[in-house]
Amino acid sequence: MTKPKELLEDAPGKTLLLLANEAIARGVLEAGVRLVALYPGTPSSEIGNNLTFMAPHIPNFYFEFSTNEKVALEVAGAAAVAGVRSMMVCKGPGLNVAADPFFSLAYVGVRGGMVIVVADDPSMWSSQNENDSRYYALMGNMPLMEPSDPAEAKSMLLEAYEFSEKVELPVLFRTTTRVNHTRAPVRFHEIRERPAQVEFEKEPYRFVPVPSVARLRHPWLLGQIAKAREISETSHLNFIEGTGDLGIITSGVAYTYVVEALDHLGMNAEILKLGITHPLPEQKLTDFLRMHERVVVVEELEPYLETHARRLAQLHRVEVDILGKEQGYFSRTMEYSPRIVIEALCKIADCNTCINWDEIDSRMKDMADLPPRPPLLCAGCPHRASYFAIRTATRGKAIYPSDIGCYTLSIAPPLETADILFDMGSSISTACGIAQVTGQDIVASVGDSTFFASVLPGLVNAVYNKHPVSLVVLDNRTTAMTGHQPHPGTGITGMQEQVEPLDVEDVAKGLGVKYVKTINPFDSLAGLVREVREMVKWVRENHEPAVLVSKAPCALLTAAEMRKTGEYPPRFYVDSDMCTACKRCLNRLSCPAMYLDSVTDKAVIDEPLCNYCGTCVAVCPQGAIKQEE
Amino acid sequence: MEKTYNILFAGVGGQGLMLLSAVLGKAAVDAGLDVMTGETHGLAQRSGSIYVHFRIGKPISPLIPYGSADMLIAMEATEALRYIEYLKDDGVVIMSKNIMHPVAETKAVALDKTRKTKYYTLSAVEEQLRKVTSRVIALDSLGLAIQAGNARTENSVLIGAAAACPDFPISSEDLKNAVLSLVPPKTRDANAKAFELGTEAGTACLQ
Repeated sequence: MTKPKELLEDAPGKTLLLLANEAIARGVLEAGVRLVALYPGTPSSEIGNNLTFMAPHIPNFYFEFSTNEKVALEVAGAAAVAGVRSMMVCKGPGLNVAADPFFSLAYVGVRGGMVIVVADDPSMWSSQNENDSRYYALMGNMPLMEPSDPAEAKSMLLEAYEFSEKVELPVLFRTTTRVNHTRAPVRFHEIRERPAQVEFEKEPYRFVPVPSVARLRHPWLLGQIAKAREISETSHLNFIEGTGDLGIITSGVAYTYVVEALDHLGMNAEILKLGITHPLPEQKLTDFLRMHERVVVVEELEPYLETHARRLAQLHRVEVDILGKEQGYFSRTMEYSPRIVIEALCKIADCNTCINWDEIDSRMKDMADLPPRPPLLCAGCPHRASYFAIRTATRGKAIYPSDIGCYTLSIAPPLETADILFDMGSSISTACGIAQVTGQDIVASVGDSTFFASVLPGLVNAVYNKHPVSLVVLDNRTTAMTGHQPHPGTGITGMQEQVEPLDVEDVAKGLGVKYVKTINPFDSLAGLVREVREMVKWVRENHEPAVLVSKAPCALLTAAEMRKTGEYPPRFYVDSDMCTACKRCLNRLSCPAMYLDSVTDKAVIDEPLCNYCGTCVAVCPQGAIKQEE
Repeated sequence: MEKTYNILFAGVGGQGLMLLSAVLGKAAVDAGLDVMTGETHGLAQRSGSIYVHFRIGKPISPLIPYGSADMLIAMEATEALRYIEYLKDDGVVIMSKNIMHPVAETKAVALDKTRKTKYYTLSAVEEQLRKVTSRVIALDSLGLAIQAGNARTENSVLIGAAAACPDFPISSEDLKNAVLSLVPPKTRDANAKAFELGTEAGTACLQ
């Protein structure tokens, strides 16, 4: 709950309770970063959410919400090539989007320091996979750092820029959800000034990797990584602490669980904590392996450090038992916790803990009948009306390719309008694939931010190759899922400047879509159903793509506006005399503001939760849901 | 502080859990105590179940080990049960009596034509909690908030109740100051009153 204003304060020595994401936003100032470009993605979102409100107050600083991660990496990479410090931020899958420039950037290198923050998501709290981005560093030959907590997120970031400039390579700065969303005291340091402008010095035979250039750059890159390894060997970011026969190698947030577990068990061990995990300090690591008969490797997700440890042990003929995922002591899925590490260490050291796991597990079994509370579309969400209409118009029989955003929550009953999803932008392209091999109607859906981020090439593909698909663009005027960032359709930039917004309808028409309409989903639910039906019919007859833009602001934006002005529309209520307890509203909409009165068995609207969309009014066959005059 | 005091906050996205955690964080830092929290952000904000691990004293990791929470503060009653594995034996539970029925539950109740499926009740929550602890402070937080003059001061009621616990590591005065410095200025009086009502009710429950 730290305000962006507080992060701007030129107050060295001041200590604030910060999320690691807020600490990184502060670090941008202290490292003298000139440009930051990103596309929002949880768990990294709060970095951009703070920087956008800090940016207008920072001299010689530029921040943008780029249209997608590939664009962001190219913008930030070029700034670092030009000679200033820059940063790109993304979530794990975002780095996949930016993979193409990522590899080239390592070949050409940078003149100013550059950091690529990538936030992985073990347990997939808000992602479609939990792939381990550390392998990008290995594959792309880019230095890699992993902070463990908010204070380290900032201090290590400052070192990452120094490191980057020493080896002329971007540094991959890898966090995980648990680090991003940990809050702890962080101490402020001096703010570093940024240059107003630099001169771009031409050096095409370095920065244009045509084959003849790239062939020279690859050995250069390997040489830089060798230099980086020397730095890693002596860096204080790779340190040893504690004493004991047992050795433990760890990195990231897992380090904190190791310390907690040892403290809890009263166990002694020597810990090698790695902050620079590529290139690894191979000498230091090998020496560490030599000093112990048994070494445990504790790291979330893939056995990245573990495999390196085994490689080094084999290479240098070290007799050591390396214990980790290969023997099943740790899992390759889901985030870790103190319990997981305590249990594994107990097994390895053959000792006991005072915690009675059986008793605790039996408690959880007692709770088996507790109804689950997964995230769902908010009360008043325009997507609920849109999906109700899509489902009704197609009688649930069409194929519904989905995309990445809040609207993917339409997978749940009763809306059930998400059938296939790969990645950002896959709605339109998967629709094309399905259209070619089935005869079924296809209604794909995508949000406005994702439309600009990743749908445009797929839509051009659909137009040019004449794919018979319907696309509904759910334009809620923001990037809702990640916390309401602006995008090219909103008219606000990352610098908080007003600009001309791009209009989804105009863009679709410009790309050659012949059937494009815009409708407000709250105007008339029956009208919306009719529009979807008409579009599907048109596509069937004309055998080419059509676009319907369903445009109404995110319910959270509307609710915030009402709170600000204090002006609320008349309330909605269920007229219990007219309600026949058919429960159609509850079964067909699943609105979190509606529940069943256990006594009367009739529907009730929870007034404080209602966001006044009125969608339920049209769903009631009795006309029992009304709005006060 | 020699020992780490662990609090698990639980609630439903949109209830203001993050602000509650920020209030306590400020109070702890102002009292010179070290703090570490593990929070839920993002997707789970959409009416989903959310939590904050809040550790004061000598926190090492952001997550409370199972069975080690000294206190569980739930802004919704069934959410107290969802995280029961974290509570230590005889730890304190401070919870709102309010139950927000998840949509999935409403649907199950609505679809059962025999009307045998019932909503989870407060007494069922209390019965389950009693298996782990006798120290349960169940508050009509909304009623007390309205009594304090503002329905949106429920969180201050809950924080006020925490101050009623004798082993709570932050003084009642520090807590109250933190609440009053972070709430909107025009709601300060109502929040102060809500805090006091929470402390009174909490003290009564623990006796």
